[in-house]
Amino acid sequence: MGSDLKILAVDDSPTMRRIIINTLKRAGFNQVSEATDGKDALAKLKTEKYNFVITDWNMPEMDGLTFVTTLRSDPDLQTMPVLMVTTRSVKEDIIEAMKAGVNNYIVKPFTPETLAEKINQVLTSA
Amino acid sequence: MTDNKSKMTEQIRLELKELTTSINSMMDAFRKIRKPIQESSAKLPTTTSQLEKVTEQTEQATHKVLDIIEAITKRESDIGGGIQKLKDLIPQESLNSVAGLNDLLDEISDSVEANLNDSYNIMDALQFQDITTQQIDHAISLLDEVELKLHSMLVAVGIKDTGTLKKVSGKRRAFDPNANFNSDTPTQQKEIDKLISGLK
Repeated sequence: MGSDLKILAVDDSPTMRRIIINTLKRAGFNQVSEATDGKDALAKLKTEKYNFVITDWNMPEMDGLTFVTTLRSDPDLQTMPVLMVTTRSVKEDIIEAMKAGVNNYIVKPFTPETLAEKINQVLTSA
Repeated sequence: MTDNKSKMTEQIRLELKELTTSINSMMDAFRKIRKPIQESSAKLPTTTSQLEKVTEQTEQATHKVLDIIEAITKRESDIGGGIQKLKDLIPQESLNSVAGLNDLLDEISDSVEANLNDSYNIMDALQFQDITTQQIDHAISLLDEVELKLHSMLVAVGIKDTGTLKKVSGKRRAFDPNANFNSDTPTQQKEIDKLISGLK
């Protein structure tokens, strides 16, 4: 399943993008592209086909929550599986993200096992 | 009637005297704090700039470490692949006939695996850089607020012009004010999973 999946990793931190991409490749997900914020991600999703999105919350230009809300209101992208990976661990934030349409939620720092597990959970339930 | 009027006049004179004393002591106090306020206000942009340097340099160093880790993991993976090829090339009877050869190859494979795991653990730990950057960005935004308030005070008393406030950085910051490097992530994640399953 891993090798066929085309993932878009959205994070404003170059370090986090690099760690996420390395972790995904280790788990067998070799087709990974990156975007620096929600705006950049939407532009990439409009021009290229992806099967999965991993997004941060706190980003300039367009934050993760606005990005997911925009995604869910777009008929072409509304069914895109989205995993949020963020430092925000407050209960109210998690509820807000889930209400916005996030499929699952990971708090940073994450373990590679958690990332792979959550991707598989989202894909299985999709 | 005249007595009342003179009593009131005396009362007003006393109040005014007290008021003048209060204003004078306030002016004295302000003269004393004016210099420290000016100095603090002047130092804040430098502090912000230093914190931005910390973020930049930590990020550069983190990427240097990531470069090295990627190189190590590539080499270790190549060695692991090479050992497997060697095992495939050497006939099983030869592997068994040379004393200790099979064990040696297994030992090398185990070391390669251990090196790879250690390298990946270092890589995972580098997530700290994103979290500390958010903490520093939060501190910078608080310093920006203090700078703005000090500047407004100095403008109000005529020491500075409204146009003198120069932003240290035009960088747009996006941070979680509660960002924290929690070393017990599995437990924290389990609590989140529980919350999410309750929502579904």
